[in-house]
Amino acid sequence: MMPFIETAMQVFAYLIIGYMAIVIISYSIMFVLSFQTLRKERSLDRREMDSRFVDAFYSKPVTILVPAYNEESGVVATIHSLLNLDYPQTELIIIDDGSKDGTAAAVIKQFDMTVSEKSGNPTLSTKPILGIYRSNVHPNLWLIKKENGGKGDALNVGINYARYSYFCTIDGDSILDGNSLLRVMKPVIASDGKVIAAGGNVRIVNGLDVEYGTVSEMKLSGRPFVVMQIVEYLRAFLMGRIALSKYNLVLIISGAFSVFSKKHVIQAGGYNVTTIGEDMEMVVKLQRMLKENKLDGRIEFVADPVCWTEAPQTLSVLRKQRRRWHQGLLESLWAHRKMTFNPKYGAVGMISVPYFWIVECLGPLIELAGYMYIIAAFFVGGIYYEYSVFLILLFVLYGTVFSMGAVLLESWSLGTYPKISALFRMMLLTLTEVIWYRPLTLIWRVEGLFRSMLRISSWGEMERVGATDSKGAVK
Amino acid sequence: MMQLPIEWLLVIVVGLLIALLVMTVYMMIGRARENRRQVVTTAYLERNQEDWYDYLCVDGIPREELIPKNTAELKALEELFRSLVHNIKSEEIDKRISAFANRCLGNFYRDALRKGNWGERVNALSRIRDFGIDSLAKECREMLARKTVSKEEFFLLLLIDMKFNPETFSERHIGNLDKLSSKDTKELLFSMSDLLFDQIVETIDHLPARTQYAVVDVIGMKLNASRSDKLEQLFSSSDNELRIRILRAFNLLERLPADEVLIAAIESDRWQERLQAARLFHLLPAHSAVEYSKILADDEHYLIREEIRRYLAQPAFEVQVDNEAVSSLRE
Repeated sequence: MMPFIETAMQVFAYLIIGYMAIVIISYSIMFVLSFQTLRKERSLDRREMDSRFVDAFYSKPVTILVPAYNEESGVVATIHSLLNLDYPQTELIIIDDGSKDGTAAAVIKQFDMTVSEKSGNPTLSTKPILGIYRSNVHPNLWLIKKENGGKGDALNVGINYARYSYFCTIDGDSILDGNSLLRVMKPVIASDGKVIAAGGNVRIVNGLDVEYGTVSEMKLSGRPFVVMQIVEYLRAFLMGRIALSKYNLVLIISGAFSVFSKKHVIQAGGYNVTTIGEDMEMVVKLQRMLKENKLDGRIEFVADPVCWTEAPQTLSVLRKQRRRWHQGLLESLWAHRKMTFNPKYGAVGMISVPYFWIVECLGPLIELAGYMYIIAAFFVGGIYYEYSVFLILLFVLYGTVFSMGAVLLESWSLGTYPKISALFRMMLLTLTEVIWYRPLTLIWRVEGLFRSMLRISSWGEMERVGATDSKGAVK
Repeated sequence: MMQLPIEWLLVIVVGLLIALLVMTVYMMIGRARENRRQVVTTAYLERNQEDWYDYLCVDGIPREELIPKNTAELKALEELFRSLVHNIKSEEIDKRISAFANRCLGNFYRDALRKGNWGERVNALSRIRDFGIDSLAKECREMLARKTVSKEEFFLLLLIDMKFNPETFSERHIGNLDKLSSKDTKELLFSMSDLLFDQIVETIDHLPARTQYAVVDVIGMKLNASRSDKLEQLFSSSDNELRIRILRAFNLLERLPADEVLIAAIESDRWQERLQAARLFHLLPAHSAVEYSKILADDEHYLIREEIRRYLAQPAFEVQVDNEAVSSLRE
């Protein structure tokens, strides 16, 4: 082989190995930090805490915002679950963002709604509102119909009409456990408002028994494809976010389930209506605002409140979702690139933003290059076998070992899936992750990266199956 | 060229995978044990259902069979007591739970308090308070004196100390209330006996602002109008936050403050004070309410305008005052 190509192959191999070493060290630190937090809280009887926070005198009222676009199949179950929350004072606003299906009609019919007036304070500019409805059965349930403007715009409408100082965002296809809102609000209440945003744990609902918006039986989905997504969520939420939250370094709390201080969100200018990942962009914007205005605020992730969401069931839908997520990530980081390695933004600028750039954003590109290197090295042979074996081992360490660790951590601390067989199946599947699931998601994320650079912007609609039918019964 | 430590990495990866597989097996065994424990727990409760009923609700004589013999039975007992304490209000049952818990659970919770695990210590403190295990009062006071307790432990220890030593609680801990979150301060104040709470109310002028706010909130929460004079007296404060909370307390008490207080609130620069004042209008005679509503009907803040509009929209209101005045205001 030509000396130039040899040198290039070697440099490239060391580059990938160096990158993998950084990622593995970062993940190991996060794993240890998450383990410490979960060990501390593992034996805690959370019911005691719940009972102390459930009293209306001590809690803070919350407006729940549900932006819905073509969510006809799942929105009714979501509303049922939200009406069943163990929380003393809530107002529930469904924002129909110009759906083309029967989302609004389903809600109006199911909850006996009529045209009504609602006072608001339109601080954030939004697309025009087409109508406001109120339920005759549940007076705290509202529906706002508006022209299509995207999720961020729908949330801004909700903020304008929210009655309370805190609002909670829930996706139109998600279901909350009864005590989830109480638990996600706990750090906000306990900190006397210093926590300005908090996000809960998001889990996958596919395969579970759901009745009238409540998960009635914990079962693991029969589809390996869905199980791998469950493992992926566990890894992302239990490992990454717990550790980052410990030091106020959180840059993402899922838009599927999070609470915010309305005052701070308005101060930050509301949701960005042009970005794809409006949830991440909002959190980065809040962190930036806190540092720039020298405010003493925190953004936290809370592990035990759970929001159940529907995961893609086909490869094409998953591809669109991952592509979109990665585009959102890059757009948010790019919009706030000023924060990168900027000591003015403290640990967020020096640790968190660089971590998201290097590991989360550019990582897939390097990792995918690593996979291609392995394949190429086997063809080239010679010394490159050694590099490729080394890389394979790093991939196993990075992919399989951490995924298995996350599954065990969840099972040990929270134990969502009580059956032994479920744990066994998850562990078995994680062993196969590096050979099929990981490369696939890497390709899609890299695709998202390029689409973002080429400024190709589309939401990529996900065809919903709906956890329940329109009456909320099990499908 | 650098030599790659493949063997080392291989050993690490294989070692970690084996460790994870061993942990998986350990977890599976743990799950199976937990299932067995559930069976023992259910069996204990079913077996002793009648004896527990007799002890708690009839004669108060504890039978020997009721004494738990292992951790699973102890957990069953804990669940039983917990659900009774949280769902049934009976002094007699509470006394019997306390007597039995002091006898059979004291040592268990004493050990739990010494454990390194935070969650177990917090659980133990909650149970000591709920079940009234006063035999551990000394241990709890010693723990309270330590500087290393967490916020949650500190709060529970204060609740326990208040329950077991109410006479001297105020003088020992009045300065400590500021260390609690406002939610915890309110919960603590709300749990106090009226006698103890009145002692705190009397000293309100000397308390830090945050504690003052909590005391005022709790005056409203306790729904005892006898302290409204104190609220009126405090309204002369220049602290806007305190004034807003005082008005909110009047709202909770469903009681009108003195005229000068109400007028000062209506004319306040702070919209929150004006809003709280507007919420008191339904307690006024209808004609006075209309007069005051005229002042706030065109207020700059939408919530106040909304409050006035909602108040005037009540059908009962129309009967009491002449329609013309109301109609013009509604417009």
